[in-house]
Amino acid sequence: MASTSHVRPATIPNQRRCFVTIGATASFRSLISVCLQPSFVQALDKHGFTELRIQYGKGGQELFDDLSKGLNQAALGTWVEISGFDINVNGLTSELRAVKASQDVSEGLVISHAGSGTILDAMRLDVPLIVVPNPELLDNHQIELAEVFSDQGYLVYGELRNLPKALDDSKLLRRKQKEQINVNTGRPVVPVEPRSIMEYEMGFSLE
Amino acid sequence: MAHLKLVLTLLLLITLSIAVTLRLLQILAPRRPPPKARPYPNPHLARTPGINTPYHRLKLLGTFNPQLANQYTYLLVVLGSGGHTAEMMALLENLDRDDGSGITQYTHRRYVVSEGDEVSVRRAKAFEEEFAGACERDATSRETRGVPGGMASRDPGTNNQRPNYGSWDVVVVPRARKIHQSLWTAPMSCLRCLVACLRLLSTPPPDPKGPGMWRMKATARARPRKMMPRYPNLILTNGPATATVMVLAATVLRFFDYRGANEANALRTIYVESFARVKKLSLSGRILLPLVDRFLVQWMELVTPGSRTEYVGICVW
Repeated sequence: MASTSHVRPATIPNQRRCFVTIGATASFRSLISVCLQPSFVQALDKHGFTELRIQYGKGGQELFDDLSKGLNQAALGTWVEISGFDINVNGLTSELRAVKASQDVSEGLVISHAGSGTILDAMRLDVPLIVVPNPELLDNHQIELAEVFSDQGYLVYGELRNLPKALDDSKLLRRKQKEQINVNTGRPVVPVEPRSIMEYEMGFSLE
Repeated sequence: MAHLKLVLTLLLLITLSIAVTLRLLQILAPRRPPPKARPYPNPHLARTPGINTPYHRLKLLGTFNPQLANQYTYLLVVLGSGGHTAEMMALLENLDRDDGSGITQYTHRRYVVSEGDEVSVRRAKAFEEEFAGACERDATSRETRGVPGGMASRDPGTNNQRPNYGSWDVVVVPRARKIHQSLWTAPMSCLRCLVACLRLLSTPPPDPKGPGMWRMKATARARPRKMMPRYPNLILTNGPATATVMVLAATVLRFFDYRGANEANALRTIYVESFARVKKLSLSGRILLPLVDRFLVQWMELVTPGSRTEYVGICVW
């Protein structure tokens, strides 16, 4: 993946994963190839991502191997670990969870085809999502769903031609989602987790 | 003479109502003292971005009560029928969406269901069994890898093969009002429900010491035995009629401070307004708004200036 002369920066940033999924049914080769373009990997690096994981579906292995070998990260000056798998029969929940923020992992990102199952899973787990509808599909009803959800501010509608822009949009959307404005008071409302409120009422304390 | 009697009765009534109002003001939400700080039952999994804000730390500082470490933590969950139960179970599942740490902090969970509500009983049972299974798997995988901590660990000193995932039970109370029940008989059935709730609240769950429960380590005999608190530390409700009666019962107990019911860490109440209430509070919500300690809503439209409602976003996906 990277040449030996290419050393990791001294200050190791938090892990941050970008997970790309094309779904289980149809192939979506254009999304895989766009995600392995040098311009996109550079954009990922600029946004502080350290990992790119791709679910490339059945028959996508060859394309994935070719493109990821062809990527010269040393020349690009980036350090993004690239990995992939074809399909997980147990579903993608564990992969989506790995994107969520935890102790030394920063909140990552999911880039997905517009399948409603993935959209619902990502929304349920509250992970940032970019949806890229597959233009190769006939009569793609999934575009409709993606448009409505992006209009309502739940996700970013990404275009194959300009995926780096979708990264910027997603960052902005995430910031906006976190600071909702209360119509009545005009102040931002930061929702508190019920779990925190319960633990406060129990008096749980680390000190 | 008749006048004097009337005046005296009036005076008595006025004094009584003033006294009751003053007492209510004293025990209800804005003036109720914050809970006393206590350690997490499962410190491995303490992850609380929300309560470690400076404000909360300040409130909790200096109130640390070491005796509370010797008590189990006791959570009472009121389930309603249908939608209320579904929302409540989703909320509980979301508590440990990431790592199972949400529910392990409550060492005894008691679920209250109304008479004849088999579905809620089954849901609570399914939730607890799934949680126990997750704890078993977690403990086994940690033991094979040699990593301590986790959702629950097995006591090394005993032959106890079960991880410490706490205990739970389901309690049935009579319905406050049956569907299609006439309004004339409703007060009677509400009263029956209230009596049942009062009795339920003041009867602590059995101390879990039987085989397979939280047995003390054989070596630690000198340590004080863990106790089950008399009252639930926390009551979690979301608006069925039973919940209203349950919070009323808790208020009654605290009003008279019956056997320490008004202690800072006893009978604290959280009400979560239903996801279905977007613009207006429900009837139970309006009744309970002044009585509960925290009132959570899932839609921003319900957060008005000066109101006690707190926005948590949609938490029942």
